[in-house]
Amino acid sequence: MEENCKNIREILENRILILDGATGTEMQKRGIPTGVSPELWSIDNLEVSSEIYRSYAEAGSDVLYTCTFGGTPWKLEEFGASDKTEEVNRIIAANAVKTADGIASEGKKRPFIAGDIGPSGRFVMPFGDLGFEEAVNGFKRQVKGLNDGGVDLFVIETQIDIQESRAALIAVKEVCDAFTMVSMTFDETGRTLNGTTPEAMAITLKSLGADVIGVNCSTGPLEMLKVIERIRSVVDIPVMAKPNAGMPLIKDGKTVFPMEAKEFSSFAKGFVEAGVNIMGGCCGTNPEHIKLLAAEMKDLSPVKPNTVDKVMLSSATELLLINHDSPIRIIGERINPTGKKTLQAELKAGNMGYVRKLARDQAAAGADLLDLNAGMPGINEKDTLLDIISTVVPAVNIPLVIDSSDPDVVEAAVRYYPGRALINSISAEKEKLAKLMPVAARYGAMLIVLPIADNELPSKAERRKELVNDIASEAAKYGYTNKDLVVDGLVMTVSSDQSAAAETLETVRWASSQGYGTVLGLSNISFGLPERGWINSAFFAMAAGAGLTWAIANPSHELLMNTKAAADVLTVRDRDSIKYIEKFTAMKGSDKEKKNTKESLPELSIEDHIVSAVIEGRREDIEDLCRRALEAGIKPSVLLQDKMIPAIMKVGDFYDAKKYFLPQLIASAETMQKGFGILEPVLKASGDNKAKGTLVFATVQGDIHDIGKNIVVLMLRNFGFEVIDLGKDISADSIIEAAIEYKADIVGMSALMTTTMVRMPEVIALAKEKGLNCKFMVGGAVVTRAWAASIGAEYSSDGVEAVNVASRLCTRND
Amino acid sequence: MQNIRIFSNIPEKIPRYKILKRLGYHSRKNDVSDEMMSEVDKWITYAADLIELKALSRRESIKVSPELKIDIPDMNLSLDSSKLAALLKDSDQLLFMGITGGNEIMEEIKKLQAKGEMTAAVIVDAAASEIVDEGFEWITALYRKELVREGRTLTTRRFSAGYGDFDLEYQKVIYKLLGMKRIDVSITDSCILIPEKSVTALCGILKGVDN
Repeated sequence: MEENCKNIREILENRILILDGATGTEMQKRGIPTGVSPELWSIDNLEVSSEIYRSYAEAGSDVLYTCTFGGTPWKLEEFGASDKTEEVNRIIAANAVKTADGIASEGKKRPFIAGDIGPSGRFVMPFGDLGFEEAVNGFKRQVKGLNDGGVDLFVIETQIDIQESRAALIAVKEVCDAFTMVSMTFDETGRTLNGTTPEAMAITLKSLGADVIGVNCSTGPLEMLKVIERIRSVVDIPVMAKPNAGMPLIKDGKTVFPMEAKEFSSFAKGFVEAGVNIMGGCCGTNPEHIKLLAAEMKDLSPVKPNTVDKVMLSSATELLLINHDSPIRIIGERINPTGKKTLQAELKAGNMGYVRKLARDQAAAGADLLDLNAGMPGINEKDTLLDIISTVVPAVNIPLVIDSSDPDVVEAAVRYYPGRALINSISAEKEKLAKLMPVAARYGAMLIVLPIADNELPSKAERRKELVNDIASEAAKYGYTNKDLVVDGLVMTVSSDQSAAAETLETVRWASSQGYGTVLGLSNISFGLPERGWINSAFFAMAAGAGLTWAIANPSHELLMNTKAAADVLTVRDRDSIKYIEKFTAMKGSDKEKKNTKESLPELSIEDHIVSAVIEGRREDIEDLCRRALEAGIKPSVLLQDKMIPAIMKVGDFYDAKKYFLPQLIASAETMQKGFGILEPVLKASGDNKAKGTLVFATVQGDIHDIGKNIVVLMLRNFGFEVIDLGKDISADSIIEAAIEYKADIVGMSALMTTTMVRMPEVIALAKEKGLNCKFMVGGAVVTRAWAASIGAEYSSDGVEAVNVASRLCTRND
Repeated sequence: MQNIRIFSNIPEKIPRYKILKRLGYHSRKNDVSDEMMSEVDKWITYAADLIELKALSRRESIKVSPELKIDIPDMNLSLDSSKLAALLKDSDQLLFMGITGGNEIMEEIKKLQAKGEMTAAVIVDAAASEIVDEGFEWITALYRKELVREGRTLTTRRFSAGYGDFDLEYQKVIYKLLGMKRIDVSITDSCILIPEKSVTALCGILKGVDN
């Protein structure tokens, strides 16, 4: 078979293609100075680039990357050459093609030339500030230059950001639709820096039309193998790998790649067995690495991938698998302004905080996907939906459902969404079908099929089936199979037609038998009826029995989510009932805990309960306990002095002994304070509330940090000190004024910065000037015991020590 | 040397262990009930939901003299710190970074304190500090990935104004050269960045590859 760029796919079925190795280090060997653009230098030294291409071709590379890794307009901008993007890429590509042709003219195998597209150095929206269309257009400039230079194929490589990979891939598809490989970098955790898993990357890019996907850079071969295996488990298109020569090490202040060519090439077989079709080397590799790799690969044949027969959607970071035996997937319905006044108002005002909250709440409540709808009067639906996507994508890890009846809005959304989306929905309405189907196919989205036609909302299942078949036939022309389509059973309200439920269930049953996914917008069923949750849940259970795979619902609805958990067990979608047991065992455990607390109450006296509430930091119990103690005739002074203060002292001891950590100390202090709030009025009335001493407290001028000071104040108050808390950023004058007014025994000061702690001696000096006879206590992150001593103040490192210091100073004052 | 880079949507990572450590947690010594630990986890998640990490970075060439003076020729600037100079002894470039967790988290900490919910406030405060700091880990990981192509990497340690003999007043210099106003951060006369959960740091960029 003659190998040319038209039959790369065929070649890949028969043998492993060898890529090149690192270019940058080869350029360094040939004298590229530091700090210059390799692309611009390459143009001035075309013969050097040719020499590198030749060295890799001679080593056995079938595919050579053009020296255009930094040829994006953004990278060239750093060298003032953004306006030459097309020209730079064209010249370098043409030189690479000329070199390849020259090799062929010598009777040797002609290598393919891959137009190399590296990262922009920016992050693309919604992950960064580079607009998505701006990114696509920028990449198009590079693609155009490379294409004009005559490259055979494209490689988008070393990508960190899935959205940038998409933008570059769309650029190639829209300029020349050439054969394109996309490879991203993954770290040792098996994710990209932005958190994308290999599976999510594979599905997102495959859906968008990448011909080869894979991994390069970042790790050595050993770590990369695992990522390749994960990619191969979800896609059956060719996979590529271009690992570094091991993990970089720092030796004598320089970066070193430790893996020699022999060791590197020893991984060849493992990569082929893992499913790799194309392999080369990245950082730290050289022609020797490629030569030995090619030799190892020579007699190896690609492993035919298993057909991947799974329905998959992806978010920017995660993959979602859906099969008939998967648990029913819940599509969170709450980001839809229809009938929701708060959401409508927020969307109109352009506030996305509420949308983010709805997204996070639904994901936390167990939604598997989120439906996004921005259809309401008074806003631009397209712009709003894109804003919603920008807000929701970084906030949650689950895939999104693009919900709009306007094909233009759907197109804008699926183009922008950095994953494989589900479109809600496509119907048999002729104009919409004709417009939407190619859009869905172009971006590889899955489809919810709504069995309605122009001016027709069929009430009977039979007609719905016909319409589904019509839509599926059209979808098949674009490569869709039944498993890529999710049939909406069309839920009609039973309050107007009670037989509607049966028609919907029949539609679900039939669609399921045909291999389609099935979905219902559950809550419509009960519209107009009271206590709708019961109807919704019963209907859900019946639909689950009919084969339902997806449900559009509110995941915060406990009854519905519990019904789902039960239905998953009864329809064998929750294998061995594992999820059901986990869910309800956890719930039962927490109920049991609460019950035990209440049941054990009679065994202890009320005073003991107060003590244990303070020690355990049970803020929710203390007020009730104190009231009950007072009702029982126990003196508040006894409760405070004999029970609560010893209890909080015990907590302080626990904290000092590191048995407790800070949240426990503060929880106990908070409990004490709440209890004291109940006792205080009674203590005042009986004249039993004499303070141990009076303190004026402040964070000094220029400093705004006050949480540490607030903890100290809380602790001191709990121990019976009167604390006048002046707040933060307080001048020396104000502190001294307050100390005089309240006849303070101690002035407490806090500072967190070296620039503000110098205010402390100023306060002390002013106090002396005013003839004040109080003590000083200081603390804060930068304050040390020695510093405190040097300015004539006492030091305390935390709230517990502050109580001890204050007690000591006030005793002396007495 | 290089334009300032803006990172407007850094993926958040919750460094749970670091947060617990900041709160004084010692797994072998502490006796913490499951209830308390779930409360801590609840507020950590709550904090993460409120934080919106935005950051800036800037790469500049430097010269470290034998007298431990750091010059940034392109900016006509010198940094006077022998400790920082020692960190940068094998570096010929410096990476400046500034990050903020945004204002919403600080507002919430204030609200919690005003409501008397100090336990929650303390946990949220600690979580915010660590999550913001973790943002630097993301930026440095990004640079490491990019620098590997140049055969370079970053120093493992970071440095900040106020550390050792690197005067806190340099916070103003770093603030200005990063243009932190663009991520809605301001600075006070006493070098405090506002919102409070905002920080700056420096890393050295080590010289080239050798294999």
